[in-house]
This record gives sequence, C-alpha cells and structure tokens, in this order.
Amino acid sequence: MGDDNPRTFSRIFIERFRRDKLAIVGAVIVALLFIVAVFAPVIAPHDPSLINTKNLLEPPTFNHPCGTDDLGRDVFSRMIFGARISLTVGFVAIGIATIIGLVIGAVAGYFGGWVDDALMRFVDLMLTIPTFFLILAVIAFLEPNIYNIMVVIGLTGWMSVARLVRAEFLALKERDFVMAAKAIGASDGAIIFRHILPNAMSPVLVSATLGIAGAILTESALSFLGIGVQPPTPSWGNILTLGKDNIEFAWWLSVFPGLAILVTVMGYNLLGEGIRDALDPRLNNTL
Amino acid sequence: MSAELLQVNGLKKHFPVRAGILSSVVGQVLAVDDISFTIEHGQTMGLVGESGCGKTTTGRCILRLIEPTAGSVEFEGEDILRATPARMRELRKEVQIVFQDPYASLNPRMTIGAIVSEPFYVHNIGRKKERVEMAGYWLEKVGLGADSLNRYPHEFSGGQRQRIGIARAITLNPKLVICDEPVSALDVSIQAQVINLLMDLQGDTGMAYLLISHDLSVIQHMCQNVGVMYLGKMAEIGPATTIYSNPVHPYTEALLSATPEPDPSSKSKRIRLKGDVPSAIDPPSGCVFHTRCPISVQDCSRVVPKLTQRSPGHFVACLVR
Repeated sequence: MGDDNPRTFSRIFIERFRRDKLAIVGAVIVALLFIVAVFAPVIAPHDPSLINTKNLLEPPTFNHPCGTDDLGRDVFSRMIFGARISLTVGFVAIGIATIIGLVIGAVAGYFGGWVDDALMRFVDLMLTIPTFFLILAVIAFLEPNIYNIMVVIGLTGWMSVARLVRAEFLALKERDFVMAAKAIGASDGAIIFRHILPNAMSPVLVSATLGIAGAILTESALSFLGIGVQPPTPSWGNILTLGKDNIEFAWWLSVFPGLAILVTVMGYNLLGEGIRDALDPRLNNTL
Repeated sequence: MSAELLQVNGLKKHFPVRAGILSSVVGQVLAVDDISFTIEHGQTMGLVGESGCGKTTTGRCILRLIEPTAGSVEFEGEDILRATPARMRELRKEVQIVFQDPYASLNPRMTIGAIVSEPFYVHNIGRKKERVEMAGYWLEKVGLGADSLNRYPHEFSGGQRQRIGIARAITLNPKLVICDEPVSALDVSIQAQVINLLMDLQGDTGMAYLLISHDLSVIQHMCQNVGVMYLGKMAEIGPATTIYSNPVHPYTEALLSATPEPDPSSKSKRIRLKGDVPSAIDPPSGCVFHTRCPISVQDCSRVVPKLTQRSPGHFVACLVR
C-alpha cells in the first residue's frame, strides 16, 4: 500500500502512460483547461460581461487577443469563462451517466437472469432513441439552463457504460477470487464493491474520459442552437452563434471558440486513449 | 451428532443446455450424477478422475458455490443444502476451499493482508489490529513472512500465492477444507512443499480435507479414502490402500496403470483406453464407461451398474467384475 512498494498497479500504469507522448499532450491540455477554468477570474484580462459600445466587433489586437463581439465584450475573457461551463457540463453530465451506468450494469451483470434481461432490453430501448433529438425535445419543454443540460446529457448517456460494466461483471463474477469471497460468506454487496467493481473500473474510466469530450460537444451544439447555456452567460457554443450571425465581418468570433472546442475534445480523447492503452491487459506482461 | 463430519448423499448437478432464440432447454449436462461419500473428522478423502468428470463441480456443490440439482450434503448431521442464508454464513466458517489456479484465486487489487483477513471482516471477528495480527499469524503458519501483508498478489510466485490461498481458507479454523486441485498448477518441486504444508496443517488443526485431483500419487500420499469418478458418476470408492493395491473397476485399473513409475526398469503393463471421454450431454447408455472399457460385455450398454460392496467400505460399480 505504501510507497515502499515499487510495483503496484498505479505505478505500472503511470510508467506506461508516461511513455505515450500523445497521452501526455492530452493530459497537459486537460490540466491547462482545469487551471484556466478554476482561475478564470484571475486569468481573464477583462470582465467577460463588460459591454463597450466603442469597440464593437473589433478584430484581434494586443488588448483583445481574440477580438470583441457585437456588444464590444472581450472574446478571450468570455472564452476563459466559457471553459468553466464546458468543464462543469463535461464532468457532471458524465458523472451522472457513469453512476447510472455502473449501478445498472453491475446489477444486470451480477444478478443475471430476468433482471439482466429486463435491464438490457431497457438499454436497447434507450439506444434506439436518437440521443441528440431526445435532448432537443426535452430541453424544449424544460428551461434551457446548464443544470437541465447536464442532467439530460447524463440521463441519455449511461447506456454504453452499463453495457461495459455488465460485460466486466459477467466475466469477473466467475473468477476464482469471487468464488473465494462467496465461500467465505461475503455478502453480495461486499462482493460487488470490494471484489468486482475495483477490477471493472479501468474500461469505465476510459469511457468516462472519452464521454466528457462528447458531452462538451453536445453542450456546445445545444448552446449554438440557442437552447443551451443562455446569454449573457458565456459558453463556447453561444459565442459560436454570435460568430455565425457575424461570419461575414468577424471571423474571430467563429474561429477561436471553434478551436477551443476542437482542442478540448481532442485533449480528452487523447487522454482517454492514453489511459486505455496504459491499462490494456494484452500489453500487460508485467502483471 | 453423527460420527461423520460430512455425508454427501445422491448429489446431482444437471446443467441445462439451452439453444435457439427462445433459449429452450434442449438437454442436460449430467455434470454430477448421483454421487455419495462420507468424510470423517480429521481425515482426507480424495476424488480422482479425468478433466470434466465432475470432481470440481462436486466440490463446489458442497459449498453451494453451485446449487446442486438434487441430493443432500450433511455437515455434522445438518443438511447444508437446506440451510437458511444466515445459517449458511455460519457454516461457511466450517467449510472452506482452496482453488486450483493461484493466479485467479486472489483479488489482484487487494493486499495480501486484506485478502487473508477478509474472513474476519465478513464474520465480524476481532478489532482491526487483531485482524491484522491474526492474518500475520496465519501467513507465518503457511511459511510466508509477515512483511507480505502490505504487498499485492502479483509480487508472489505461484507457490507463494497458493500458500496465501491456503492461509485465507484456514484463518477461521474450518473443520473441512475442499482442496480443488491445490497443486496441479504448480511446478513439481513446489507441489511437494504445498502438499507437505497441507499435511502439516492437518496435523496441527485436525481438519479434514476433500482433495480433488487427477494426480494419483498425490491422492495416495494424502488420502485415507478415495473415490474414482467417471462422467459424473462414482466408479469405485473405498479405502486408499485397498484401491491402490487391489483396484476392481477397469477404469481405476487403467488410471493406476497410467501413473508414471519412478523406476525405469519396472515393467508394469499399461492399459490404454480407446478414444476420448464421451460427452456428458449425451452420456452412453448403461454403464457410462462401456464405450471405452476393455472388458465390457453386451449387458454393459443396457444395465446401469450399481455400487456394490466388495470388501468392507470398498464399493465398485461394475457388472463384469
């Protein structure tokens, strides 16, 4: 458990992760985004909602590195605050999805039988619904705010996690160490949480990291369509909407938030793939 | 209370074979078909047979890791198969299991200390400090240092892992330990160490073993009684000395003749069996062994042989002999 142990799982994982340059790039991007989001008020050069009618749609300058929007607000500062939205939506939405997926997948995989059948048919049913249109429909009825968006993305994104977890549980519950726990008399809860879940978490972690990228994209798309995060709260998606309206004379309103989304999604994907490769048991000759 | 520690009566486990889109049952695998034996306090009973003959399933049915289809398993006169979940938890302190594959039987994410002290947590025995102390005690008892408490399974060799598995099984002082091929995954040099460990522990604690193995010399070394299984059925059962010196069932004879002899000059005749073990989904009629039996007669394919007593405690299921 302590640091005197040189070959724990985490050590081996870190060693392998460090050899993967793209994964490091992804990790750095994600880490930078975290810092930007957390310290947004310190980093942002201007107040993101300060309207300046003398500076409407000003191209990028030293004072406004990403230009200003149609109300003269500093786009760079707005994007920095927008990072908070992206990060929060990504984590909370995927957090919700992962928890639901873990519970449903664990119950289905562990108990099997009709419980498994019922839950998996429900998953199939959920998967037949085009998620994005379901989100559009639901948000149309609800107030379009960041909380509703996070919950709806979470509630429509858990199915793949549930399938992953179920598959892991099906494989792990037949293993001898689970049999041994049963022979000792451990309860179902103890077996699920102590023995199976810790061994099933690797693919879930990977899927969650990749899922965050998807959630950020979904939030941006919703905000772009005007049913996501509502102005004046800045989000990358609603800055893009402004960019669309002014695309003939203010390219910077589209390019910079677009790049931010691109880099962020790429960062999470690289990180997720790096984690997946580092955890891949087929490459794992050290265990 | 009966004199026997464990009495297995007519144990059956049939696995349904499902096929088609509606998963209808199209057949049954008779993994264990009417097995009976008894184990006395402090003794070792061996179960021997080829892969797939149902030895492991028998062991797991006794612990209810697999729920048997029929039969009874009486532990000190109490039917384990009818025990309530609460009573079953208590009984699990008395009957434990050591697994074949020491690489699969330890949770890779748990430290050795956590693995060996888990029975104390499950049964709420002792305080945290005492649990660690007891885990250390049992680890030393199986020949591992107390410094292994904070280490992980992958840091140990196969033999060491098997010792850890044994320590986990005996921490609660069980009266019966089911050893499911405890040494067959280990190097030959390590096998002897683990066998001696098991026998030493039995000497210290007086527990009984059900030793499941395909290795006849291991069985002979450790067991007072032996049961020979073929395709889910008991072919021959009795005291080890009788069976090894005077096997009656042709299958036992063939198995014994296949044991490697350490003396190259000995010219014991090898009995070679034709073909493979038939499928347990569709076992042969009559005596299940008749398709490969060197001495089978016509009746063998029609009449199911019953276990009959040949000498005190020695039962054989064969029509010819």
